[in-house]
Amino acid sequence: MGNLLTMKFSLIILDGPSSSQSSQTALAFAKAALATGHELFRVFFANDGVLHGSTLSTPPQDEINITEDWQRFVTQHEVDTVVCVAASLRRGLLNEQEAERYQKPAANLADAIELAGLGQLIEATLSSDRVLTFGS
Amino acid sequence: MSATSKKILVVNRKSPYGGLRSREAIDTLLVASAYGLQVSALYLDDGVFQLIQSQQADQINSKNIAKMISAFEMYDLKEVYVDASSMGKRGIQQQDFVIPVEILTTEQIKTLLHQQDQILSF
Repeated sequence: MGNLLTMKFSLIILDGPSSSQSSQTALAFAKAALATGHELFRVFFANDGVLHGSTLSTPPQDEINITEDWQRFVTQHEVDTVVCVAASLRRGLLNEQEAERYQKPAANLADAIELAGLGQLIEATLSSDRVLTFGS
Repeated sequence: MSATSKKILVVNRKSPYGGLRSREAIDTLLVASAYGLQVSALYLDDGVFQLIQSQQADQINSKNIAKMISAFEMYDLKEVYVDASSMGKRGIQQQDFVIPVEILTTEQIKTLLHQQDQILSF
């Protein structure tokens, strides 16, 4: 580091994987940010964006699987990635612990992603130089 | 600059019941305020409908957005701004709102945006 032009970014992603192109744009931005030496403090999926945490998304094989692409990216680069817990539960995205708590038959949250509250969004806002919101 | 002196603006542009965006923006505002941050809210475009007093959300099996907004003061969230032109286009007047707000011109909104450290857009 030591480069004054290096920034700490956090990204908020609001749209679901199939509702707009914005999460593709966000992923392209995230890749470009890391490639040019910037830091990603956190990626926060809120609203319908939480669906990017699902391991069950299965689009046709000749189409992009943006959900998997995001999960691969944050795993590879060990990016701190959070899905909003309230938004997730409401939309049927659960980790093992929540599935057990609410007695649901399955958990579908990707391993690399954490289920947490809006406090994580606020913390990201405070700790980052820039917060970018993606969503229509 | 210490972290908590950061000024945060939450921009609300969506209608109250067109989706869950309005609800989740309110949650974000309340959490930010509970953390003791300098947070304010700006309502523009269809977002101005969120502030309308006479919402009958129970008719569509929803929770009343205006009621949640009326709790802002309890959370010490007193800086609420509304875009005058969004109101004008929709025939909405100040007395239609559930809480006291500050109505801003486009120029004043520009200034408001410039004063922020972070802007969260919902």
